[in-house]
Amino acid sequence: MTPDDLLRVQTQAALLLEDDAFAATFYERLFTAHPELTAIFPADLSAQRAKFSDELSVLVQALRDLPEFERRGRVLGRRHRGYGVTAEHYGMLRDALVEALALHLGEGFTDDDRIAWSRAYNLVGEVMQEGAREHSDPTDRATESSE
Amino acid sequence: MSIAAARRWPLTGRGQILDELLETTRSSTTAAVILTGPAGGGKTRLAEELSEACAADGWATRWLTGTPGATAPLSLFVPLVPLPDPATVFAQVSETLTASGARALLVVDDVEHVDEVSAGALLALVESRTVFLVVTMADGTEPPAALAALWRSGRAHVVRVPALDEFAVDTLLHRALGGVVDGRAVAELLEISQGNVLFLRELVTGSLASGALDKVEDMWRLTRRPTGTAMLAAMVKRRIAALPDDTRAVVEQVAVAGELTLDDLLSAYDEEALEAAEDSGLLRLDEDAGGTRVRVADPVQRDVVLEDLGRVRRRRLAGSSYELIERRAPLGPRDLVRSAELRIEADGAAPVDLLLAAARAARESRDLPTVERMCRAALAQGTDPAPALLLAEVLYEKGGFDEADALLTEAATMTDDPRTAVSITATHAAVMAFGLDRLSDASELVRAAEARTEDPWARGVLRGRTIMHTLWAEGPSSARSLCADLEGLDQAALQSSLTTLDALSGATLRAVESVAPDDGGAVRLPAVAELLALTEHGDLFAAEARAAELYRSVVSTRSPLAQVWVAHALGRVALARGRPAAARRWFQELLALSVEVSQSLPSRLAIAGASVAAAWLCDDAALGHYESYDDGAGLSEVGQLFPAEVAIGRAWRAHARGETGRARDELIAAAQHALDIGSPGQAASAAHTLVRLGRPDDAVALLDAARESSDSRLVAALAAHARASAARDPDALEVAATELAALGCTLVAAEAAAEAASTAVAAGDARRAQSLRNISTVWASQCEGALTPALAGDAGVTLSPLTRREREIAALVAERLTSREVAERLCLSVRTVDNHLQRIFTKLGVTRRDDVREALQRTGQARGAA
Repeated sequence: MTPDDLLRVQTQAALLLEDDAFAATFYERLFTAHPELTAIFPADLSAQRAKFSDELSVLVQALRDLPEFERRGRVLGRRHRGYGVTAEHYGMLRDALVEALALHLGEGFTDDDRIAWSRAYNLVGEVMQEGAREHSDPTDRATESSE
Repeated sequence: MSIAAARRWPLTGRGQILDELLETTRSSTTAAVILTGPAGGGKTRLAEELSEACAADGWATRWLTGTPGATAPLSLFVPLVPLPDPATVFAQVSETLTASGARALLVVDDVEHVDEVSAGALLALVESRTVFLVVTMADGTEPPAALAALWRSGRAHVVRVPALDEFAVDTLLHRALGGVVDGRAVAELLEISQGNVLFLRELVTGSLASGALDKVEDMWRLTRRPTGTAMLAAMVKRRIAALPDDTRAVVEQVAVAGELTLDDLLSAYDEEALEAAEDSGLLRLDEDAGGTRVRVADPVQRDVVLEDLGRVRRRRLAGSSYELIERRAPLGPRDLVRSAELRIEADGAAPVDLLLAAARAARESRDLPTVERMCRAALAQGTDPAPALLLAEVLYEKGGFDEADALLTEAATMTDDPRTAVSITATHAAVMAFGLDRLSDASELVRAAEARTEDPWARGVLRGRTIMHTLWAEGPSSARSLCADLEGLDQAALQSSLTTLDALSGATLRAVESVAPDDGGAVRLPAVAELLALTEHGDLFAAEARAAELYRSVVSTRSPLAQVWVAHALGRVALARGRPAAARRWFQELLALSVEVSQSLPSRLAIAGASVAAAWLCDDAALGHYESYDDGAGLSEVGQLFPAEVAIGRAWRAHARGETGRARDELIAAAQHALDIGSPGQAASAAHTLVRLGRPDDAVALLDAARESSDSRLVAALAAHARASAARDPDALEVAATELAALGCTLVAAEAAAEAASTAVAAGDARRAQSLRNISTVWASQCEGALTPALAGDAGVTLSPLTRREREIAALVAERLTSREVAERLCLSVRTVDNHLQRIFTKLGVTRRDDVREALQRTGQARGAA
């Protein structure tokens, strides 16, 4: 990611992630494209939406501090493996996220923004998958439960 | 530095394949996995990850590696059973592998090097379901016959490990280097490595060691061509050594020639050798209008091939290469350059005519380093005005003023051709005026030459120089007086000077319409005049697109002086568009470039522009840094081309320090001066900054005067904004905001909308205020985090804005988080949070955390710049 990418992602995230409607669009896009994924998520999405926004927001803010970003991302990825999320799902989530951004930002979402978010998401996704692959060890559990 | 080199790189872009492989190990029908792909593509790493994941699941895992040239039967199994015996090896190995009772996974890396007896044993182990077998096999190799049968049976799952895509390379570099990486560096490393992980890693390691990959301003960038490592070189050498002699000869011929066509090669080599060379992966074939061009796959590999050649052989190959090229008819521009270069390499010299033709062809495509090489080779055979002039033009662009001065002085005494003499004079004047700070000498030289000639073209060229000198020294009004008697002059010869003058003096429409075609000359830089015309007229979208296009071309041709002025244009446009992060990048680039061309004006403009961007981004540290650059030089030292820019940068810095009165005085003086010398665009920029700093009353008269002497849409829109702002008229402010947004001035549009919102509040229209505020927020969100006074609070109220970090903390405190919770969330210490909080209290004028929320709403400093 370039500094410009970081700025784009952080600015747009600050604008969108406080908005519950954005998370709603994201899940709507995801389930329309992949109805089979509804099984992974709880039936009542309201808590899930808030969690989605919070987690994405924290990760995006942490992007400037790579070690911290990687620590958080790995913990998050490990938790998601528990929910049954596989590597294939990460690609689906990226498409849904980019579509939701395009819908919410309209013309304000340029090709450069699309590239910036794709790079950022790829980074998040790879770190989470790395976390998911890690073999649980007791010290990590302690961190996980404190999240 | 050592991190990227030493640590195992994070597995990237392989999640899905790894999931698929794990799935396969659980299948009842598949007994083996074959990982294929090019050498260094990541097969072994994937096998490691699979083996580790299986081990974590309780499998017993073992790792064996095929060794090239190992002919002793069963040597593969020595690490498992010290004395393998053909009769009992199956029993021995299966006993070792199943001793623990767990399922067994056996990895055989580089299976192509496994002997047939071992392969037979492996087959038996798989068929008996004793082990799940994972093997890796490089492209272009053959598996042992016993295992080939397994492939064919369909009981093995074949997986091709693909090259990494663009995003995977970006992520991998980001994590391996531990920070953000410049987009161009990613693109270049991707291009050379073609997504091959080992290649990428060796390039990064080599480039870190050589300093080609360098961290500048918290960003990794390539300062020059990436370098490989000894290991990479060894890898390429092994591949070359493995080629049959006739195939290797083709690769070497292409490496020395740089580039040949397929037809050239077919005339010298037989088709089979060519096919084998293509299959080796060392060559790259591209189709274009001239036929099929053949090159070595990438520059790093080419260097390795060349290093391996002896000097004599290299000279001989250079000789046969130029003969191949010169058989083509007619010779194109690139052919001329190549044949000249190869002749120099083979024979130590080339005919002067060929060198001059090659230099002119290279100048046509603006390949300045080649122009320089060709001219120096020509001048080595004796002094000659034509190559001396071409070389001086290149030196002027590169900042080599003293050498250019000497060359031109000598060339002037030698030429008999009057037109060459005029070109020499014009170039010499530019070198004196803008390079050596001898403006009056330059003017004298040009005026004397103009008086001596009746040739309309010569007089046009020379008058063009005089106009530029006068613009620089005195400004547009004085320069205009030189255009009174253009009769008898060839206008085309001075067109780009006229375009520049029109753009700066307010005749922006005529400037846009009169843009001259690029003549490839080094001195006049017509494309820069075009950018100036578009920007001054307010056609920012066109200016932005054209500048980006030009920048790519000047970077690829390495013309520093053109790059300086295009970077300046890009920075100015980015500021006008309201993109401080982009602007800062361009101005930093400009600062670096101006050092390269040894000119002081661009560096001052760079500091000024970067200061404006840093002020919008509330980056106090950067502002302090820029302050130290500014030694308070007067207007005269920076010339009159952009007389207000330095003052505008200084004003934003003064404002950030809280010295608003000083900022105001600086801006009024600069605007008045610009008007006095006939530079309305510059006057408008300075005066409009007054509006943005909450002083519209001081700006109106100045902007109206600027508008009267300019037909620029941008100047008109800025003047309308000033009037609306001074009148605190919400309707007029909204109209101004819409017009500014249409021009692409998104940040100023957001500011005008925010002002309109606060005047609507004052008028008691809360609903309208809300809708204007929403519009302002949307526009501001496109401005890369810019936080200007009008966005930070009510216009006219000068309030020291919160920094990015302070805003972040204030927003969390407003949500009733404790300092400890804020610290946890932002990964800071509690003490740091408390320190920030004290500054936030001071800036917001509150004393308790409970008041932060209300203060934020009142001043509009909530998160997201709204």
